[in-house]
Amino acid sequence: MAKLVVRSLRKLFGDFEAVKDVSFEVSEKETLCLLGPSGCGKTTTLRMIAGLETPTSGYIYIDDVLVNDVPPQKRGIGLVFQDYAIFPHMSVFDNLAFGLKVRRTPKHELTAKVDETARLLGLSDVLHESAKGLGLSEIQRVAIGRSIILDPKILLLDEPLSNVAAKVRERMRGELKRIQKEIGIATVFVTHDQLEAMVLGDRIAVMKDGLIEQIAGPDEVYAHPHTLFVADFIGSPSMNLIECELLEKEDRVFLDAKDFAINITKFAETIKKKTTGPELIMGIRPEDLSMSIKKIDPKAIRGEVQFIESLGSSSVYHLRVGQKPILVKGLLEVEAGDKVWVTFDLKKLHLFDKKTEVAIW
Amino acid sequence: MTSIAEAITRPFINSLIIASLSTIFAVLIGFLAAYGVSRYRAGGTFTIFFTLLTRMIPGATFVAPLMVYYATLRLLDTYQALILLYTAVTLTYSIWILKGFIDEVPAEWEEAALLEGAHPWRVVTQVTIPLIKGGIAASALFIFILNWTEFLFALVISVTQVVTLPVQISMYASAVGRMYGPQAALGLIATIPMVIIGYVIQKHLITGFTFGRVR
Amino acid sequence: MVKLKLVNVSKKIRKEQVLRGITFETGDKELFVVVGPPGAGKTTLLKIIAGLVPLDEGEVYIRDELVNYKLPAERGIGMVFETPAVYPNRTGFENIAFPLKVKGLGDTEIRKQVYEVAEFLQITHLLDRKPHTYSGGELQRVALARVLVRSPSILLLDEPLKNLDAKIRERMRVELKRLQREFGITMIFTTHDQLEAVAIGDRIAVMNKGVIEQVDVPQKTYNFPKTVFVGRFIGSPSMNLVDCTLRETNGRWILDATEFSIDVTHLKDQILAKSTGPELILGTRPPDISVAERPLSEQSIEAVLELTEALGSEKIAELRVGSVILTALVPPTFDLSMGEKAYIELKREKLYLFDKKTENLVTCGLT
Repeated sequence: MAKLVVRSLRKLFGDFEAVKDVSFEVSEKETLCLLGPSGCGKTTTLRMIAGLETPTSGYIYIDDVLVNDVPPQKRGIGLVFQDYAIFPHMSVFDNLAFGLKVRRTPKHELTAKVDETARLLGLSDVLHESAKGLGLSEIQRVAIGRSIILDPKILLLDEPLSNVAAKVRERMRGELKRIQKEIGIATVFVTHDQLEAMVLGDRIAVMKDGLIEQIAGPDEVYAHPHTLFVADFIGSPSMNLIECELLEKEDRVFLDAKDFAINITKFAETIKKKTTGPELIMGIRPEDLSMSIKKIDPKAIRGEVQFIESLGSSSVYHLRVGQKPILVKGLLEVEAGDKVWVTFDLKKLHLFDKKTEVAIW
Repeated sequence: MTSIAEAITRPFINSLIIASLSTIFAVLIGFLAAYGVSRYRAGGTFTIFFTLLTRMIPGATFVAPLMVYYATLRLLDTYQALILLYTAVTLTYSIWILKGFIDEVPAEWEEAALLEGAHPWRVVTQVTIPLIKGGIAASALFIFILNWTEFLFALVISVTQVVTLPVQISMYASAVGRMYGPQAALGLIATIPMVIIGYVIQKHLITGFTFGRVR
Repeated sequence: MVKLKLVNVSKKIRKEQVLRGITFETGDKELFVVVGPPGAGKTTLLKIIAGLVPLDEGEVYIRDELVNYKLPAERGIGMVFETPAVYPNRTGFENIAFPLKVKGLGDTEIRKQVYEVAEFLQITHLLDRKPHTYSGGELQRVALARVLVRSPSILLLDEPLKNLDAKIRERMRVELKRLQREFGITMIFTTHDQLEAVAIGDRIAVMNKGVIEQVDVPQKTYNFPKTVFVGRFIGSPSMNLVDCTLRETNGRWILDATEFSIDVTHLKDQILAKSTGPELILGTRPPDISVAERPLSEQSIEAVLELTEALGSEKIAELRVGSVILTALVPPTFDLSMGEKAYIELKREKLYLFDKKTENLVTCGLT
């Protein structure tokens, strides 16, 4: 039985529907990520699970118990805030022991628990140091330690890495992942950074305007996004989304994007069945396009390099194909103004119905 | 015995003049001081706390010496005496409250205006002050109430000319008995100005408390 | 010719040396990015250039003119701060019009200029509204509009994209570049995100603890980092750094990294010339490490797979070699499980050697 079950959650703030209808389950040892832009309802959902907000309607079950009316401290949850909220004037030991002290845990048990948690989080060396002088990643670990020391059933994290400088974030991400695997508690965390979600989440719930557009593992949301929004949101740089029309000429079927067309006769039948009309949006990720200076593939399309973002080991080329901007990720010795030939990997092509914004291919 | 109208109007006007002027001075000078402390760390760390210390000494301890000063300077029973005193005393509150509000305005917003060629004075008047209008209003009202209701020093320093409302009200109690009627009536009249002021600036008070901080 | 030049600028703030000997020059119409970890001194640097903070030592030249003693308003500089200077008690229009009012322009002229900039930045719909209704990105644009309306020749931006959502940041940085190109402005902006700097900067200055460690085009800072800090800071995932010692045995010179060793006899002269001692640091970037289930050559190093992180188009693999953990970039098809044995190949041409004491680059490319 899943540790956390959320069913049809809804939250209204006055007239504003922050969360419309959210349902999901999280099993033990699983990490679910609520991913979405600011204002999509992810933090509100987390707060409802924590008990800091009351749902307008819907149910929350923790360990098979309905907890809608149970106050936060009795739900068996551990919550790590965005700014970690640890006591700077106390030692690491005292910070970790705080919750246990409040519960009047006997001293030997307390010390044993603190030692074990510290060992788990790699804090044994700094156990008796003041929290004031700690580095960010250590502070984060103390915050996590404080929340897991009470053996919560679920761990909740609110944007755990958003306050951290980019470089440090990388390292802390890896550490966080390692800690998650060792602790093995059902975890839900909230973020707006899709990279964080991909790395830390076993499953990702992509949210928009109070609804979940897709819940699946990172590989799945990356390779098979259900909606336009998910396709655009996951992946950096964003997927190229081009408006096109289903066109039948003689006995061949094309995707006509005005500046270029792609022959899809092979798959036409399957596609035609799923569309509501001829207007579609095709999606292809920058890393699934290839460029060359000379025309190698007969189906290649001509584009002009507008500008290049170099990312170190590869670059993102901002091309213009006719009127349309297209991004390609790769490595090619060209400069702004040069002309290149672009090839589409049809296997990686995504198609969305323009009206419903749902993936059909 | 003076007429009823006279018994009310004189003290009322006195209180009005004294309380208003002291409030205006306290807020004006206090704002300048607060700005200096907030933006330029004027006075270092000690000076600002020293002003707080002055408020921890009970007024009763320096009534007598003050009377002697004023008597020597022939300031007894004058407007200047009370205005000077009230301003000095409420200055502390003014500085502390206003400093809090000034701190809330990001220094970068003033720097942006400076960069655009605005004179520092212009920055203060067109950027900072409009943003803390509510704070200034709240501060002014608070200080006005303090001044308006001050009794001890008004009692000692005023004799006949500068009698303020609180003092006048107290005069209706004597060894013989208390005239509750006049006291109650005068007390009621005394509250009117504060209610009016509060009503008039209420919009600013609300903006003061919910300072539009953009996230 | 709008150039900015700093010569030997230093600044101490309350006993801390915040900036030390800062010297650099920007070109005309260049997008120059100052990148470094928080606390490196970037904001102080910008404020000194703008004239909002006095410097202790050194000179600042704008257009070849010494501006040390010039007021901020006289320097012809526009600055966008980390907390956007958009006043909540004024509408978008009034905010953008502020500098023009200060200049003393007439109402019609002000209207014209404000609308021009607003159209260019696509924020005309925000003009009649108050800032508390704006989103993060819109706020930045209004702050930008306010600065651009004065047509400054140099634009300073202090961590302009810091408070924005990750996705929006991606788009806004390209917007900034487009803006810079179209307006033809010399733009200097600071960030802690090296990816941002490298993606759109024409040249970048890598700062650490008040000192500029390297000024170069982004590709060069990636391929030829001058110090350990630059090597590790630029490039994501970070460069792997392993301590090693230079040893001579039987006439051959070896880099001994405890868990493995590399023959560098052919480079010994270079190494000996530039290093201060035998203690060195070996650097290798994750994309330059290949991982396989079987040893690919004699040079393959045995390792144990500790962790994988899926990034969509590729995966990060952390491998343990004895006491050292190396991070490698592997294709998405990589499917070894945790705890399994793997074999690592280091790309010889892309190995970096740094002197352990001075942390300077000794040589790169150990073929």
